[in-house]
Amino acid sequence: MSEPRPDPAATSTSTPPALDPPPPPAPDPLHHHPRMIEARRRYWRTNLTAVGVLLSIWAAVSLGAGVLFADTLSAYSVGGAPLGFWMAQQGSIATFVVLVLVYALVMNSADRRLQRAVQDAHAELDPKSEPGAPASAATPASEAR
Amino acid sequence: MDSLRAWTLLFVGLTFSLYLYIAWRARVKTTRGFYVAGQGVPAAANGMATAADWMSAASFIGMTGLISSMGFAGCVYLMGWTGGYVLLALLLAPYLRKFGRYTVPDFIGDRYTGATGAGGAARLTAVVCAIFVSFTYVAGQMRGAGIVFSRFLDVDINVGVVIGMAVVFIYATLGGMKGITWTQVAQYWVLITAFLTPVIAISLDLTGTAAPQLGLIGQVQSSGESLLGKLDGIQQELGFAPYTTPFSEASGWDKLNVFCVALALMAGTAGLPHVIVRFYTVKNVRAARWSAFWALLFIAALYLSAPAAAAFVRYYMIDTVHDKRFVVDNAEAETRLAQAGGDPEAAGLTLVEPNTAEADAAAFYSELPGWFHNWRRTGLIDWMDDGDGRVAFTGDDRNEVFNPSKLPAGAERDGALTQHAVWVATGGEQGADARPKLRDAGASGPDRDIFVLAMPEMAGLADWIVAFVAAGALAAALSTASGLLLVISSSVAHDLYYRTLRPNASEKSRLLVGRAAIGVAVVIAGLFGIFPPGFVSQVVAFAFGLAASSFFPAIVLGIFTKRVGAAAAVPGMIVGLAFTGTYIIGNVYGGWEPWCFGIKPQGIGTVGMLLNFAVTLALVPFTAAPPERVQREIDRVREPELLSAAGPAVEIEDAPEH
Repeated sequence: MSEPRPDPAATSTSTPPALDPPPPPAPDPLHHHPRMIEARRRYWRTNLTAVGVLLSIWAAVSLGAGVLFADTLSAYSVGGAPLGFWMAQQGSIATFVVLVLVYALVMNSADRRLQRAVQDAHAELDPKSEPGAPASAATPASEAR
Repeated sequence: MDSLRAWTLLFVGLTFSLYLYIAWRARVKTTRGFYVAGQGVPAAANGMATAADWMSAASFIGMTGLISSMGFAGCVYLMGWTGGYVLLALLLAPYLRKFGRYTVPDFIGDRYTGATGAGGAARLTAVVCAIFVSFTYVAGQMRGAGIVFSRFLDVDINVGVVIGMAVVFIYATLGGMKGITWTQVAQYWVLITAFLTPVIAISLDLTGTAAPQLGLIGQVQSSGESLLGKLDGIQQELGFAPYTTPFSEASGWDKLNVFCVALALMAGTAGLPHVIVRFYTVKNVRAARWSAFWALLFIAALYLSAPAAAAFVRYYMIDTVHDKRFVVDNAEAETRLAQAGGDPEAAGLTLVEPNTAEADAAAFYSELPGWFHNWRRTGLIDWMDDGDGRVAFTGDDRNEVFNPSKLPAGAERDGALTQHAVWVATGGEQGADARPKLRDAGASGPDRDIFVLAMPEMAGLADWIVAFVAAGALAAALSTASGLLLVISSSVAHDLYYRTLRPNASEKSRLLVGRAAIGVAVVIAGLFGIFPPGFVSQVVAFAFGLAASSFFPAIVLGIFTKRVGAAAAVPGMIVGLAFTGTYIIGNVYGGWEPWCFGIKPQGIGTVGMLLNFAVTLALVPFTAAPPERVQREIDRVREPELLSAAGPAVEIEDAPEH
């Protein structure tokens, strides 16, 4: 196993399983367009904020209300169940479903914003193409990130 | 009994034919179809498949019983096995889908690549973990299938296991991930319907509410008291811990342990390879996010009903078993029947047909319900009288309900039961009381795995529903087994054979190796089912502990930091793995005390995970960042596919037409 062998992750043609085509090293004006850089930064910040907020709720309902404060919360009740018990066995699970739904909605709309930034940046670089339908022209460039 | 067998045969035959038919329709010719279903699975379908993949025989058969006997602490499984999906959806799934290769070791190996060949080491570690975790799991599935076959079809467990393996083998080798995915979609509907039907029935019976979630917080129909309040009261009266009280030192479920086990199960769930790999099969990142939502929604359908079912079954079990007379003499039975107008149910009696397992050759009347007598024949629940003829089901020394199968089979078990019968018959003059022995063997109370399977009988449902539940349990076992077998196959054929040993292998030979690997894995899994290793239930703690302490931190850091390189991540993984592995082995086999703050082996993955994070982050300042190429790859993974709607990035040529 110690003999030298090709780096398995090398982005050369000897690694076929990459499903996205291997990025050619050619410089990509679209990728380095200031609008794009800003849009990508914003996209990632949105993502980190969403993850941070939602994971805080995740921890608060499950490990917080369901475990750490379960005995305190049992002074209250939901119907016939003590609140701590109910959070641990029902409330936390229902919240999890909502959290994942909210994340999908927030990030899919962030995806669309980033997508629009690509189109705008592309329109600026290549004013001849219509901003509404840049897909076919922009694809090779965007694929060559 | 015979009508039940006929119904079971019918349902098992129908569902198995359906699975095979789907696999035939979805057969594949490419490695991409074989490993990731051509990446053309719609999000909702993938969600159902993920749910079926995830909900194993343990979730379907075992979890309700476990919660039923644990009370509050059962929340570790409920939260652990659903909360992990939040981590998965937010921290892993979209990025791994964008990364777009076939397996988890692929990601670990490519992300932590380096000049020193650390990528190879990381990949190999990941492959070994993936294979180990998957086999641990498969063994449990086979045991579940065996229980169902022996109870409902009266066939030998081994025959049942072989039938199950043959079906999985055919549809997994034929259709690969694509066949498995569409089969799992069908299996989801079979298992969820089969689970919810008896739960809804028992909820209506007990609380008068069709929604079990409302029944759980509602009142007992007959008395108007709150169900959980009454259950707490009865439990306390009989010497059990109150059902809803959080944390008890006596059972070992103190706050720290509940916390650690819940967290270890959550992080472990997010790191399990057979769950992660499901997110590789969808069309794009957006679909991966939706798919995580659908998966959790479909899983919640069972996980929100299971705690309700657990409380109902607990109540029902104590109510119908405790303080009842095992045999009611004929004269009294006749009078009671006459008073009730000849209806045994109204008279509170069950006619028990003569059976080879019963001491009495003739039929007799009993105050115990029919399910108790039916399941008594499997040896998973039994009554050890103290001489008064009444069943006591309590949490202390008075208890008379046991699970004799916990004693080693053969002379020891038979001897103890015979001696006990003599002891009762002679009024304590001869023979020996078997109860202390059973208590010491941890055999108090019935076997937990029978709760769900006995539920339809408890609710007095027709034979065909009982049979349908059996088909549901098999669907749960087979769907999980097939997903795991595919992970084993892809680990061997893709990560070991192709990525490590023979990078020039042709598509055709890779596919052949993949199919052969499934074949070998099926045989090994079948052997696990026929000769169940005694360590199965203990090593499941391993699967989650190892996934939590190795994969989870490595993948999260790999996505969210660009600075962590192989030289920092690999030692972290090794420390996490070594600590968790040693602690579990030491506690399970080495007779250690749980010296780490009294944390159970099941929860130690939490500590292993923190160690992994700590070691990796501590090493970061002293080690090299990943190469430029890997950093670009991380950037690429963090972005969605842009303009993919019109671009060639997604090939949907083999998207299923279903």
